[in-house]
Amino acid sequence: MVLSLNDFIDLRIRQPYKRDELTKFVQDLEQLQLPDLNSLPEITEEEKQIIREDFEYKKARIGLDDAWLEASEPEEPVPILRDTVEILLEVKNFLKKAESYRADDKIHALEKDWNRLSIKEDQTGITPDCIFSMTELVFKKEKEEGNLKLKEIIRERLKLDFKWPSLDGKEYPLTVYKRFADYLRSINAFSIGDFGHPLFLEVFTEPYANQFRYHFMSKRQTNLISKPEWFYEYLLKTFRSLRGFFFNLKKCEAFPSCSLLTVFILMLNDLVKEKLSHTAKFDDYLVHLTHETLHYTVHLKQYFGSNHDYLIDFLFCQPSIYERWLNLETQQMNAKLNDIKSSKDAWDMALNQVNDYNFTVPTKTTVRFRDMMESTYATLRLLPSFNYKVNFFEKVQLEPLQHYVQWLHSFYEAHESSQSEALPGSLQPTRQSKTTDVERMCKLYSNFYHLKEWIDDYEDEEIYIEIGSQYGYKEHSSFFNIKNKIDALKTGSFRLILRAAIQMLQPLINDYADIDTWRIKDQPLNVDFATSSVSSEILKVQNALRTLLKSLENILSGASLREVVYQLGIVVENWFVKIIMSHQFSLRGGIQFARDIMQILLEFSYYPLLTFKKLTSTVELLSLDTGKEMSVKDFIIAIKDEDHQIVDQLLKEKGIELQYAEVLDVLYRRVEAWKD
Amino acid sequence: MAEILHLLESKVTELQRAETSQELKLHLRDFRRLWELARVELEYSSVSLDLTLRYEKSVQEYLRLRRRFRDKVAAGIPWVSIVSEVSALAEESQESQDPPSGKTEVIGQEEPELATTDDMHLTSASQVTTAMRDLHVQMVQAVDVSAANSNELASSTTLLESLQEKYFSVEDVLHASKNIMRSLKLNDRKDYYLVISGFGFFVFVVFYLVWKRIVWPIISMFFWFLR
Repeated sequence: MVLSLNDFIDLRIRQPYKRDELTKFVQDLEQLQLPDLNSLPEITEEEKQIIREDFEYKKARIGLDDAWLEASEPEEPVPILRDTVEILLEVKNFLKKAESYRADDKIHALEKDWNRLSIKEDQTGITPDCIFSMTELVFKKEKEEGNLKLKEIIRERLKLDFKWPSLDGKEYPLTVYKRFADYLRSINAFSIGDFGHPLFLEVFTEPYANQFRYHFMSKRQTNLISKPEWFYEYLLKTFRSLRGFFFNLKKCEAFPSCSLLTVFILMLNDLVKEKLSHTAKFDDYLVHLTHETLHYTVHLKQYFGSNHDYLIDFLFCQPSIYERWLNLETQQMNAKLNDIKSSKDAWDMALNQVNDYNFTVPTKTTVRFRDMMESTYATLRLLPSFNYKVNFFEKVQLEPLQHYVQWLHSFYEAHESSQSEALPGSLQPTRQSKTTDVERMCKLYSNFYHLKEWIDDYEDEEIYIEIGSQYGYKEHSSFFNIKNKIDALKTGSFRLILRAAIQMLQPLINDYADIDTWRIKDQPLNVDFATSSVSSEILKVQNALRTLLKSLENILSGASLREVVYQLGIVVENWFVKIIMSHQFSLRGGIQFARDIMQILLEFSYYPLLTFKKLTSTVELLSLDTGKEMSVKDFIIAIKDEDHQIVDQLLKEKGIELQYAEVLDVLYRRVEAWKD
Repeated sequence: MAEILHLLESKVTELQRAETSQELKLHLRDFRRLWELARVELEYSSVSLDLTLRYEKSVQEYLRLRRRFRDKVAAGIPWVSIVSEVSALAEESQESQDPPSGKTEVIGQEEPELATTDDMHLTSASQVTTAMRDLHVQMVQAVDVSAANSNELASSTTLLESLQEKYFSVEDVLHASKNIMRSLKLNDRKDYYLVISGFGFFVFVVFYLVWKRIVWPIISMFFWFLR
């Protein structure tokens, strides 16, 4: 039945079209008789407003029972106005066009028309709302059908030209690609499909998406929640195999506005999101999943030029995922740190890690801690945004580092305040060598040394400079606070090495200092003249020194070793000079002493910077035999009388490099200076 | 020391010529190792002023290059090698100069590189000057300390000389004192034995009197009653 316009509008206000009445809607519109526009008067805006308000009132009254009114008011017919007829005419024309364009597979060409129509508004408010919604539904349906057809055409063409989806592993000439691209352009295959991507890609991605779902989203052995690297590897392999294909298409300028490969990657990544959401719920797999996702993102950037931190951003934006992951990483680090601290071979030397760069042999603790930190550094670099990096650095790197330094600090304090305390997992307590304490201190020093080295090297990395710059520390140092502490501990532990060495040698030096036979002219009894002409006490000192130096050379090297040995040399020199200054020597005693000192200086012969000038000059004076022309007393008088010519000549002759006052001090130690 | 300094200076040159940031970081690390060696050698050996200045200059240049790298990274500016920067500066200075005609030569147009190199030399020279000033201050302090030490040594020498004189006079006094002490000791011993023997005689006499007058009469009376 053909309705009049008034009845049609009235009917559709009371009974709007349902979604499944599309065909009826199209038929009704087709049969609807619209009056001539020119016959309808123009009305002003105010009149339109009045009519709108009246009609709103009327629409609101629909369905209400006026029970208390004796007679219902007679309904006025729906006014037929120009605006309403215009809109209905446009809708009718649009539907006609849609019908014809569908037949020609050109439905996408109506997109602009629809956009224009959809924003139209009947200011009188008479046109039923369902008209626009039904028109939109019709258009969408037509589009979907058009897309399905187009997709089928694209599929057939792909199979024909490239034997898709296998792509046959063959290299096709560029002309094939060009022809294919031209064909796609002609059928408008790059128009945006239902899912917001070019239609061509929606078709192209289907088999890969199906394969992905089959292997990784269904009940298969390949669908393991603990193995995200499998599906990432599958995706990367797919991208690698199709890179050539997309590259050739790009050459033909198939779709200049964006990279088809990038969109293809994004489309497959969308599939992964579901897997990520599912796996991220399990704490046991979250850390591994995050690491694999980071690596995957880096691979995409490196090999496929993808600028998106797509999946990792998606993962971290899930509620509380980022905080949970960070906490899990921190817990893992703390657990590893506890393992390192309590391992039995923590303080054993890692001899296989020695290289030319380091001046100490690292302990196994150091090596493990360094490896632990380097694994987190790799993750830090891969994180997408700066805020993530800063949080990660503070919680997962800085905090464990502070705990580790605190742990080492406790050892340092224990050693500083007491004689010795066994480090856990250290040398066997039954086999205590003389140099045990020195070795302990060297190990402690080695830890601080390597920590400082590691921090110095890492602070040159860009990421740490950026973090340090955010903190505002000097020279953009991100480890500023802890670095000063480590430096102080390194210096302190260096002093502990010296202290241990001094403690080791001091008793032997004291024994030597107790010898009081230097002033005797005859040979004393304690000289082991059967085997050598040196004192037995000095032999003990020499052996201890040799063992000590060897022990130091095993653990230290380069600048560290030299500094320790130089400091030790200075201490030893001062000791012997003090011994000289607290005894009196005859000529025989002086010669004896000189021989003893030579034994000690032999041990330092590999360190040419240790000249022991003061000691050798002093010893030279002690054993000075000026002859009958000038006695020691005469020499003293010559110095006091400032007879520098004679004095300088003699000093130069003997290679003595001391000031006159120092020479006098030493000469007063000679007994000849006090007796005739 | 000279060898290590040479290595240090070579490393500084490599730092200046580094083309990439990776290369720069590697050289920075190598420099730190060498620096440590050089520091130890410098501290424990007597080196000339020239070597000290060269060491100081190398270290200052290292610090400057490291600061430059870090400042650029912190500011988000892509790091460029010094060579590239110098070339870029040269190009900018060339572009900014507009010759009035094609024939006339602009002064300095042919030598933009030299001007920039002069700047670099000036910077290095000012750094050396600063280092020398610091060194001068340290040397002045060292001279003051050594002067104070020398004065102390002189006073201790004077003391020892006076001690020697006193010793000679003290020796005789000691000898005489020794004799006196010996005789005193002997007399003390004699007195001791005298006192002991006197006391012993006194105790004997008292015992004899008590026995004779008190104890023996009581005992004999007791024996008489028993009879």
